[in-house]
Amino acid sequence: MRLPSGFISLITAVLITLAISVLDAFDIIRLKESFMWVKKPIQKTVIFVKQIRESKDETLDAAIFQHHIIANQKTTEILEVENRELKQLLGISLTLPCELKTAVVIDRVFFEGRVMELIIDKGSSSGIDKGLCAVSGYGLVGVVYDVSSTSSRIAVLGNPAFKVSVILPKVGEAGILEADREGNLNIKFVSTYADVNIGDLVYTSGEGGIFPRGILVGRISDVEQVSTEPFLRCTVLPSTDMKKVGFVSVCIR
Amino acid sequence: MYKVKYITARVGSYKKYLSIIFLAFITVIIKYFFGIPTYRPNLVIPILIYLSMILKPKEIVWLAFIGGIILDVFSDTYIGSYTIPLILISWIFSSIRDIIYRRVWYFYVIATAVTSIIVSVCNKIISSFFFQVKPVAAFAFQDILINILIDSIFMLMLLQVFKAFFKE
Repeated sequence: MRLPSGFISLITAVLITLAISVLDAFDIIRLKESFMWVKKPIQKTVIFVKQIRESKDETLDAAIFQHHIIANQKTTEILEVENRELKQLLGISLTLPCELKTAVVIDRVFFEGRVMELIIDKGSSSGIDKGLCAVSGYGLVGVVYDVSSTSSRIAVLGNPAFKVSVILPKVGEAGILEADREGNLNIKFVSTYADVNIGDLVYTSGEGGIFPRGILVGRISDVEQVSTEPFLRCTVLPSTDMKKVGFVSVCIR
Repeated sequence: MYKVKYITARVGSYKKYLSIIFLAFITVIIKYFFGIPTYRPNLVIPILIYLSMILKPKEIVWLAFIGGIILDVFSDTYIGSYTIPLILISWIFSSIRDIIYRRVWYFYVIATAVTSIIVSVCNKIISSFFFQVKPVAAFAFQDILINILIDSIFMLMLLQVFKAFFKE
């Protein structure tokens, strides 16, 4: 009878394995312990690799955490600015003799680098109507000239179509504030005898009934007397920066 | 009659030992690295199945012996729990290989799955017999299924690598 190929090898290998198993089980050869010099470096390498991986994860976590902190800082800064603006707005609202509707500025219309219009997120559904006065926390902004149900357009100081009656309380002079083509705000009809100085405050006079009296408009930034003209040329720097204003209150009569 | 034309000459004498030892150590490292006792690939099974198709039974027996001993020494079970099933299965596959007319990829996958089942079952039996650990049938079945799946996927992935390595 011929044995299958490799049968003797098979039996030999199985017997050797069983022998090793028995000897190892009875702690005669301790095969597993004798290979500890191979096991330990493998285990140490694996632990080292795991530690590197964990440290990488920790570094990544730290980076993400740092990113969150920076993002939170930026959010805090934005909230601080908004909070300051809203506080100013609240302060001015207490001094005004009208009901205010506060809205968020959602867009700006520019012309030659100057803000001509602000678009706010409240419209006729909130009680806003054409011709109402808009103020910010820092002073006068402009007048509502177009209203839809959910938004309104405000013509701001610096828009040539916008005019307002103002007074200079320090010198007791009144005039009309309007913008020229370059966007400079000038006060018309200020007497040459008036002692107007740079830095004098300009307020709304309340004449005409659109704007309440006493809203800050800005400060005198330049005064010029031309010999051929009967009035002073007073240039005004508006108190509200139209590029930065984020909230606007509309005075509802 | 036992008429077999072996193609041993194609396989380099050192490559077969090298591949078995290398894959056995990779299996051990994977076990240490992931620390999961049951769900881990046994890369010795795919290489033994592949080599049993191209080597003589008496050669494959000793290769299985080497691979199995390495796995046994570095595992927590008794010596023989991997070696004996691997020796027997590789010898059987090597002996019956000429009955199989077409050696397509799914034959290797099925053979690996069968080997994986037998090795896993042997391990479970030996563990329960010597360590007095009575495996819960559902968990044992789940472990075996996962091992079959993992080993079969590795066979599928490594088949072309083996063919390229042994220049078949």
